[in-house]
Amino acid sequence: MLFNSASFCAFFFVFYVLYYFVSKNHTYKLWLITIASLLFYGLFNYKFVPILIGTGLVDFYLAMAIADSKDAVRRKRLVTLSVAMNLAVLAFFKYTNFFLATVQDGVGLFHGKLAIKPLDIVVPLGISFYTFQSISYTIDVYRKNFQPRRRVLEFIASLTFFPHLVAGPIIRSSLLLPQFEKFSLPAWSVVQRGLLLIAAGLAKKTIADVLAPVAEGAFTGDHVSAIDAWSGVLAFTGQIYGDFAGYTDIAIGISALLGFNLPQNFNLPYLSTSPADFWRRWHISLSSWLRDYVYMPMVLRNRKVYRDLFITMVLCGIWHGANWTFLLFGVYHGTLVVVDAFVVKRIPRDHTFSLPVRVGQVLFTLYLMTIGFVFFRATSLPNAWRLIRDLHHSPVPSLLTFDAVGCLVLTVCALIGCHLVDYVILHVKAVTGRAAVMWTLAVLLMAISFAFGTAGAAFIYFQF
Amino acid sequence: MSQERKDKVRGIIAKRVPKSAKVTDDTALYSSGMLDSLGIIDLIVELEEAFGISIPGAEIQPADLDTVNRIDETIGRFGAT
Repeated sequence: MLFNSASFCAFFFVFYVLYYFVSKNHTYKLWLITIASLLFYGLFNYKFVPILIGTGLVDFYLAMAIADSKDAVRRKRLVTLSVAMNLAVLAFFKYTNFFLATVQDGVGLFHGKLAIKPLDIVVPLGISFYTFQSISYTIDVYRKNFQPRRRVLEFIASLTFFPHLVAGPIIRSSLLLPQFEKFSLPAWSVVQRGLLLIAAGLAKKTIADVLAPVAEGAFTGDHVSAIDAWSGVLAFTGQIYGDFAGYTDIAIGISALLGFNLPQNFNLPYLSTSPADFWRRWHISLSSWLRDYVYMPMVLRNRKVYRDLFITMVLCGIWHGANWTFLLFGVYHGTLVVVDAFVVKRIPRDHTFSLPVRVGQVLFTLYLMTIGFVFFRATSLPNAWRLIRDLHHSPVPSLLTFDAVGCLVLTVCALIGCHLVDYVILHVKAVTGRAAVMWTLAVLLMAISFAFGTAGAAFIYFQF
Repeated sequence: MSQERKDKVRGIIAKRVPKSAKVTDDTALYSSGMLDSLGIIDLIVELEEAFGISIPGAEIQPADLDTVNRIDETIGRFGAT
């Protein structure tokens, strides 16, 4: 049941009517959210519901035991158990077959023979998102940054909260759980903003779906001309943003309608002036999670900034999936942020760059990110190398036909269009502050979705 | 003594943030992005040298170094006078 499908509209309509009627009773609301979330999740694959609930319950009770214990060694053991359990579940479902295939290939390299059958494993939807939320809960309790909750229903309702369950954003329990203690139907201004975000999300998803075939054309098959390669790669750059930021907008918008405030997950990432700046603006909930729970603890212990930055970005790559292309995506970004940190350290702290230099920084960063997305989207390493070669030195000559140039121009326009929608919503107060302008924009964005959208088109980040 | 220590911390911080930034004792340095991780590590090293203490990474969190007040508390915990 995808956000952009008729079945979800029907589901949400029924849910919202019930939500309105039980809005005065806190316990009923928690039960309603939990049941609706499990139904939403179970309709994708009901077999994964026990894993979601099971790991959540273990973390709930471990967090209470951590908080109740005065023994530092026991506290450490309990938090280690929680982290290990979540990572073991994640590793089993997501990385087992990759590991087995790598072992087999490794033996093959030394002319050995090892026939390992891949296990019949289906990755539970949203496992990378909800395990990270659970881990943050027990670690925050261990660090004494957050008091554990004593009401299991509140915890399960927040963990399974359907707007962000299957593709994020990754909301830390310390941010979400306090909202579950006390929430009510939102004010009309919040409802309006929620609806605008939903409309913006659907429009961005529509743009992503329009760009998808252009990207597909460049990433499949044999060599393409440089102009077609650039059209395809830029199309994917727009597609991944429209798809993921669109999903996030809808998730935040739906949450707003229910009276919850989820944090922003993107902040105009393609206007970044450096790779590090990009990661402060792209998938903010993941990058800040990795910063606070992986990178900073590592770097505070051993003070090896560059090495730990690199390791964190490699983990960020692998988080996306068990594949050599994702590993290379992480290595690539790890190298970029290390070089970035090295350069930034040598720039005087009060130095300001002129406008042309800043424009150059934005364009160069966009170029670097676009190349990074080749690794992200490619089906294999040879596929990625082939496309990178085509971008810079294709064996196929570029014919400046109307179709080729038109496709590139429209792709760039779509890329800008996605950012323009965000810029208007995030920064133009004349839109967010005036109901008439807001409604006009929302209707316009919905019109784009109805005119060009494909109902039920899957979201890319569902696979993670 | 504590006031003197805090003044010293303020001086160390002032060298690390942009001159135009207005930093009070409660201004967030790390969580606001004014100091990045490189800045935090350099800050720890400088605090250790300035106060003759050792700050074990396993016993602190970024939040412990987020404001002048928190830094003052943290280095006090590790024996700075």
